[in-house]
Amino acid sequence: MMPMLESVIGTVLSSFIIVIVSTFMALVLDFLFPSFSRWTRTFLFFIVLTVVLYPAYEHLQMIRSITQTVATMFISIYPLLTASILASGGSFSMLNFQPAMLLFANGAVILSDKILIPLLSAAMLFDIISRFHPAIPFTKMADLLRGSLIGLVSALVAAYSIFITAGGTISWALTGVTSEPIKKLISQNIPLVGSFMTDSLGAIGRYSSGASVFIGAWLIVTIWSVALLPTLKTLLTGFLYRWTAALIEPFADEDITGILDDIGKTLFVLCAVSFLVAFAFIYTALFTVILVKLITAVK
Amino acid sequence: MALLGILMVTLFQLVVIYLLLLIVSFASKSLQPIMYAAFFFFFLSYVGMTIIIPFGKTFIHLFEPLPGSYAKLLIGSVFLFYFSELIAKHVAEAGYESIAAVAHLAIKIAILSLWLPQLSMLLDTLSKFIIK
Repeated sequence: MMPMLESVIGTVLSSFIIVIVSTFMALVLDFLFPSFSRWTRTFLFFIVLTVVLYPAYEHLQMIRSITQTVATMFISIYPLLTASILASGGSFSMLNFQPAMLLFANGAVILSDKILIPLLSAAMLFDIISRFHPAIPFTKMADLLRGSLIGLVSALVAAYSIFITAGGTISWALTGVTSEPIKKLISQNIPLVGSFMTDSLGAIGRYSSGASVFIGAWLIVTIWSVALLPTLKTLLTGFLYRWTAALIEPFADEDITGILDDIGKTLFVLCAVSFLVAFAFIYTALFTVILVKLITAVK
Repeated sequence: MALLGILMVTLFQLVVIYLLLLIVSFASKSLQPIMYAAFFFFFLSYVGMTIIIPFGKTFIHLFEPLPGSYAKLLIGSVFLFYFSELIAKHVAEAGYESIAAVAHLAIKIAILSLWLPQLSMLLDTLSKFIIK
């Protein structure tokens, strides 16, 4: 956990220090050479975009490749899994593992690979255009894209939780009374995706509770951390973008702080999308593990 | 202390040039434009050598941690623009405005071409968002 944190903060923070220093340089140049100020603004925009877009692009690429991997995994494993369920007969009916649910979860991954992530990059491009050339603003378009994406993703997660609780498995401790204040804290303090995060965590937790009877708790923790690490990284990077925007606001152009803020918002939505993928990964992985356990137990 | 001396000398030169120009305009009206031009370039080169260029070097050194020679590029293009604007203004004052406009445009295009590699890098990153 710590090395991951350090690497994220190291790469992202260094580029944000560059942004802060170059903004200061542009401020001094503006003061000395006022006739050059329009050029300075444009060149500063170049520098900031070149430096700042790279971490965001890397994260988008990372989530995209993870999504593709999960989708491929699912397509290769799904026929095998359904066949095994049919073969094993009624032993699955005690759990609420439906093949339809698996199809649904991984269909969401394919959806996010084909539609959600391209839409998200489109939103980012719209933001850049409208900040760079304020005469042609696409801010409403970008906001609409982000808003509809987050709506879609939360609807999917709500559907997940409905599917999972319908089976009537035992609830996990995360939904208990003790964790309510923590969930409240998260949902109030993380902008845009906070309440969505607690909801989806609750859904994943409810699901894992049924599974933890069959497989060890340590395995669940491992699968959780593998699946949620990219999400956490993305969330952290989004926060760093917004912190930098807040830090340079007093002495920077409004456009520069605005674009950092917008990229931060987009990364939050990307974090929500990656939750979907993580959930599908957790579901598939636990499903496979339980299947293997059941088959070996029957023998 | 050295900087203070340079500043004092510069101020003194400014006063001397102003007085000389006044005297020239009083003595011979026809000689005034060429004297003005000569004084201007002499003063510009002196100030540039002693103050502006050393300051630019310090400034570049101050922002050395920026990657990809951004500081050098930005400060260099600012100074290029500034000098060209000054000279173009001077030429325009003498009545040759079209020459000044052409020279200034040429310098602007030169500054833009200095930035072309950075611009293409940015376009590359942006197009990666669209094309998988």
